[in-house]
Amino acid sequence: MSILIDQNTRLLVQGITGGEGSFHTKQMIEYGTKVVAGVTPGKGGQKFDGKIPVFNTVAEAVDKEGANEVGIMPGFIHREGNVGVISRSGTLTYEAVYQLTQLGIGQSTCIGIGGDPIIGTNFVDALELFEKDAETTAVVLIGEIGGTAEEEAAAYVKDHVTKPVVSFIAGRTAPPGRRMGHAGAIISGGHGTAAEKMAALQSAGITVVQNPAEIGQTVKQILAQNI
Amino acid sequence: MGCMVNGAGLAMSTMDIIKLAGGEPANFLDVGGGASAETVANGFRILLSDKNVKAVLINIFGGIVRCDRVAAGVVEAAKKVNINVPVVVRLQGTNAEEAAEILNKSGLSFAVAKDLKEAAEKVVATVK
Repeated sequence: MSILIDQNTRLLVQGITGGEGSFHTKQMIEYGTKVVAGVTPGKGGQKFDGKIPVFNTVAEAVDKEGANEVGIMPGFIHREGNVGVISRSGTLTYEAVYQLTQLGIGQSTCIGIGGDPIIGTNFVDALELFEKDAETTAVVLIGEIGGTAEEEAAAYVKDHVTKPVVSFIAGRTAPPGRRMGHAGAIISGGHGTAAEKMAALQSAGITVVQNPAEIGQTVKQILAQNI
Repeated sequence: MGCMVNGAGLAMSTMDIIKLAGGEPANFLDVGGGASAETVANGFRILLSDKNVKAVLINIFGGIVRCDRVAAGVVEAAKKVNINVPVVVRLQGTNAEEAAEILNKSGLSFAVAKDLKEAAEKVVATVK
């Protein structure tokens, strides 16, 4: 069972008529996703691929078609299984998922929460859902420098999560004071460093991976230990 | 080691793994979601303008970014920019197979890697 969305999710694509949007929408449809609507301001009333209605606003699309929207992930690197993935990064998530899939370890749900300092769903929200999800047996948490999300996640895991959690924090080599791509990825005033986050996670009993190429391998070891 | 990566988290991780493999990352460069021949060529120009850069690692995991476009961009860039340092290319994700074909047929002497560990080790080895 996946949390938050599944094969019955009615999907809305923002920017469906554009170059990227149309390419990825076609791939989604091929994968079996129920794309029910698209949004491109100014192109409301058109039909994508002759079938999918295009609206001017998300509100209109949701109103008329009852749709939800999600992000972009390459389908073929994913595999069905029992490991939940939550991440602040986009492509680093693909890397982690790819490693898991290569080792035969499937995913229950993968959630990208984004790199902004202010977000919707956060680590704690996702952890809560994964803890309750019968199909999820372990969680991979991918964080990065900046903010306190990982520290908050660690505190939550300590008291509320019984399933094993494996974490990787990107940015050990990031210099202080520089924004590393994501709006939220910055070490300021000496805080938000990868080292601090790794320490907080470790003290909550979370297995912290040192090398980004070993995320999959570490999960494999943890799963073997927890049978 | 100059790095050209898509996505901030992966770019930071690439810097991290280069360090773990015994190298020194020279920069943080996120080519973002729309890497084209032009973007890649510009990326190379930026990296190569740093005299400290002795090798370049291109690490692209394509979701929004299509690997075949990046590969085409790399081939184009090699024609426009004088690339006089070793280059390791690792492309995975959307259209990765097409990308590999493009690179193999190009006749360029770039080293190709499949996974992250291999990519980091190969680029560090070029300057040892």
